[in-house]
Amino acid sequence: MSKPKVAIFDFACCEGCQLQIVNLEEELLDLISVVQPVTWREAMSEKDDDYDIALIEGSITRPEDEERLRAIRDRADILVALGACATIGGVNKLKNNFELDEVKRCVYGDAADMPHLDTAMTKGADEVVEVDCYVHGCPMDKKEFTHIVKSLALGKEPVIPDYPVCVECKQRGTICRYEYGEICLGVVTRAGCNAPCPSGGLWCFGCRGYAPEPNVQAARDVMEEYDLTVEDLQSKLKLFNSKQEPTNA
Amino acid sequence: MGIRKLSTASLHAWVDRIIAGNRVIGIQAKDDKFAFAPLSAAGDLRLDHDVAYTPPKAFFQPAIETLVRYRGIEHESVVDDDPFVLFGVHPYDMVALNQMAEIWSRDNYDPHYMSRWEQATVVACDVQNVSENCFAGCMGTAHVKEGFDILLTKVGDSYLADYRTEKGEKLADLMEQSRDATDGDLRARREVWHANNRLLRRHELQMFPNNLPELLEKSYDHPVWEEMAERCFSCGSCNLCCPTCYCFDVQDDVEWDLQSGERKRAWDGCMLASFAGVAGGHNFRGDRADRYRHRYYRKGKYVPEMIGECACVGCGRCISACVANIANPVTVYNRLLEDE
Amino acid sequence: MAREIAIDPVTRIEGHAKVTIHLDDDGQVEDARFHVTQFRGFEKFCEGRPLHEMPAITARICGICPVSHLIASSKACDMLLAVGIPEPARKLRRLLNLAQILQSHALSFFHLSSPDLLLGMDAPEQERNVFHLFSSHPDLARDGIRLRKYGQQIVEWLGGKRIHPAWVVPGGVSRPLSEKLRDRMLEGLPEAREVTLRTIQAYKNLTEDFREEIRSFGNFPSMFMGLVTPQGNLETYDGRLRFMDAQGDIVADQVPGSDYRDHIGEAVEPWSYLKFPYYKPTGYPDGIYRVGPLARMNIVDACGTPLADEELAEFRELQRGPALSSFHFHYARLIEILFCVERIEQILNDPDILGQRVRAQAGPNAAEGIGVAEAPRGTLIHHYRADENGLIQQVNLVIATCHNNLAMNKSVRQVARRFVSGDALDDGALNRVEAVVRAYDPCLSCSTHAAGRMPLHLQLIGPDGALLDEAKRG
Repeated sequence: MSKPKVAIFDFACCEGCQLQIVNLEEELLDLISVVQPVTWREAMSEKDDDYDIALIEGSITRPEDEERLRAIRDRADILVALGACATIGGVNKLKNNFELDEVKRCVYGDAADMPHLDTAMTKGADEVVEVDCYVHGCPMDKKEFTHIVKSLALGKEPVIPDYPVCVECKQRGTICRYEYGEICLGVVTRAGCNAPCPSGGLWCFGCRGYAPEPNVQAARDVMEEYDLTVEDLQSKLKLFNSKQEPTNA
Repeated sequence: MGIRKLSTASLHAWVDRIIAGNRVIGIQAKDDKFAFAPLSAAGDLRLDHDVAYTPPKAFFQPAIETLVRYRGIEHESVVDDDPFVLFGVHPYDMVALNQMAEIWSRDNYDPHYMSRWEQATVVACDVQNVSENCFAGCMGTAHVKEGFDILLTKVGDSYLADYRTEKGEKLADLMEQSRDATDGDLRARREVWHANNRLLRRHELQMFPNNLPELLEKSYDHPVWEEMAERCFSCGSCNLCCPTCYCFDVQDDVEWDLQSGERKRAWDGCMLASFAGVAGGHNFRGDRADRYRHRYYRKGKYVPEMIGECACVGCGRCISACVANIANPVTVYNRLLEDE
Repeated sequence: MAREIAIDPVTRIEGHAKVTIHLDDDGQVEDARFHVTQFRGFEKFCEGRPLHEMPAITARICGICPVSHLIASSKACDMLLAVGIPEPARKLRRLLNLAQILQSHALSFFHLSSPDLLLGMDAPEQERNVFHLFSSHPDLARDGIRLRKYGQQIVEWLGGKRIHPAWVVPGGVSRPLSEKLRDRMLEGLPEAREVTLRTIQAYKNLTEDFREEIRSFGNFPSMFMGLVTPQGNLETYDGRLRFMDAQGDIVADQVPGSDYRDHIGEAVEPWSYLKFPYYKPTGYPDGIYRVGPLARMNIVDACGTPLADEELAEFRELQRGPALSSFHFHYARLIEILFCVERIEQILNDPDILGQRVRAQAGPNAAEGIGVAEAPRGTLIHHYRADENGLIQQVNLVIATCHNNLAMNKSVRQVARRFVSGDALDDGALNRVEAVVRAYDPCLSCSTHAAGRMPLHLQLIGPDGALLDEAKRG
């Protein structure tokens, strides 16, 4: 069996997900024993348009990105979205809460009118093309990534957690942030990261996006019991889940 | 076998001697809560804890464990047989561990769980401080009569150590400054038990637990399930923190050669949305309310019908763990009783 | 006839870039520009966010140096809270920053640049990558992976994860360090030191082959900037700014980070998303300065650790006055790795590091906060204004790579003039243009926190503006 050819493409993002691949360290060798990288700008100079699997990193913020993504989709048998920017639009979606012109003016002042400073509403990959597989998180989790690669190589459907982060806090014995009257998005966020933020004493930021059928209404309802407000909740949800159904955030 | 009395200082000296020769998991402070963790000094032991944040089941059924290592069709079972001492188990958790030993050994005997159970020396201890949601008194689990190797009870400034088994005796042999308990000591211990029966009732169940199966039999279509489930996050917290929830999911973790790997099982919970999902995409309990109801039936009816004991031991962890505040079994069972 | 060459995207750098090379009528290079080609808008979308979220949000600017953003951001937020952070927290943050610089430098040298250095600038394209090094130079590839892993491991142990660790918080850090983890960090030190020393030796043996590149890789006079200790030594976490001119004279010293605007201006050009900072007293564009390892090695009186100082003495032999060739970024980077290893050891052996008090709690107490730290690529400045509820109203970020923007452009021009001629792009020339960009180790997702996307796109453009040839990557 010949190794599937893999190409990695980056759009607007911090490139941390590609770095998670580099972070495989010695395991990189194992990775290339299973798949053959043909295009990877960050690690290679060589490039090739013939590939089976396309890994997409970053969110889509310009019309030309959409075209590029569609072209990639056409060539790839399997398209995988890597990390929050690609799976749900990520922090870049915060931008959608503002007028775009205002965004440019804030960064560039009067120079914002220059034609190259063009930007559009931020989209996740699946708002443009069909995505076959999601590697959630900001950044994506290495172990989940390797699980998915192995599954694809085996022709099996990868197992992606479909329950909230609370499960992993309970597995780790992490004390719930609500015990301290703090908002934590773990109750509506998809697990799979092994809950490092709550175990580090912080709240879940929601970077893996909503768990399937999140009970956002329940989250709104319980705020008062913790002396918190729905606005507090919405503000937290905005960070990674802006303009994504069903936030109402 | 016997009952010894020792001062707090002697208890510490004894625990340090146990640590010197054994792998000891002991109850300790974790931030402002308590948790079982590897114990390196008696001074860290907190027998005055109110409740362990995670139940001790985690040391018999770890959150994630390897069952089998395989390479192609060759495979070997992975059984953990490393002896350990579990120090500081409250009575309601002891009752839960006894139930688990019963469940994991009947029908399909589970070597993974049972090996750890057989290798464990369990030192139970009576409750000194009541947690905010404990209702063990209502469930008959405020004190425990069996299953432990040693039971510690604090009477006055001293501890009574009741050792019942060979494993318990082996540890008791390490005590240096202790004496046999007197009748007066045993009376004082009974008083502690009586008091705990009264004190461990932060919520009051309005019936005896053995009436629950009958009550539930009649309550399948009660509106409470829909009402409460409205606010359910399907987060599984009530399952995973429960000392008698033992359901698991099994997945393979394959190596890069795509041939060999490990088959692992991880905690699962009937409140999680896909718990009752099966191949082909059907979900037998796709509805939140169905899942919500199931947990109460499991604790109050299905397991009791299987082993003759209520599967809720009244530790109150689910009440504390539920962010939406809908997991209190006492509230739900009392409501069913009221509406009967 | 009119010609332009474009390298798009520039490969093996962090971020997306494009280089255009303009030719005159005789086919000679007239101009070359380094462009950054995408926009994210962090400065805007931080508006209205609670200050406590700022470290976590701004970390998402960059996957390679999230820690630098966490640190600069937390320092700015400390100022908004008007608190001094506990000493153990200061040391832990410093430790985290050093580990981050170590891993980032290792990535830059081993993973991104070493294929050029070991295999040569003219080696076949399909061989110039880290995967090929696994077979051609397995020991070095392994060293690189191990060294980087050491830094990343410390980041993970401290912060819970390697990228975007949510551990540095306004007021300190969220958890103290355990003795067990401290000991594990100490265990890895000897290997990290050996690898570093071995690599520095190997690098020095190589440089003979790159005389021509050293001469033409961004070799020009410029100013240099970075943080120094009160004694004028190398500083990465605290310290104040020092500016040095091309002759090696210190023109401004011990400038508090909060006064950065008195010294640094920011210009915008119509062909790049990346802003162009310049030294204000000199004006734009003459106020060109460089930051990062090369600058730091030039401006400091000493590193302050014995082995790094030995190497610094050798570095100073490269030329009289500051080292001007951007090729020497590589050497400077390796010396800094050594410094990081030594400083990490000092900090880990300080019993204070295990202190349990690591976080000062306070509400918003000040309207303005400025945090400055040295990121792997140079000085990083976070500047916030907040309202009385601690909601962020205004953000300005001056990113390490931005400071080098003028210098990178000048370097690209210099390399293009030396190695590109005629109307077609040969592979070696193209790679050298990319390699000089790589020497700066630009982090373009960072520098373009506002921007983001810039795979190197090399365009060859004629005098009439027509595109003659192009090479696109990514």
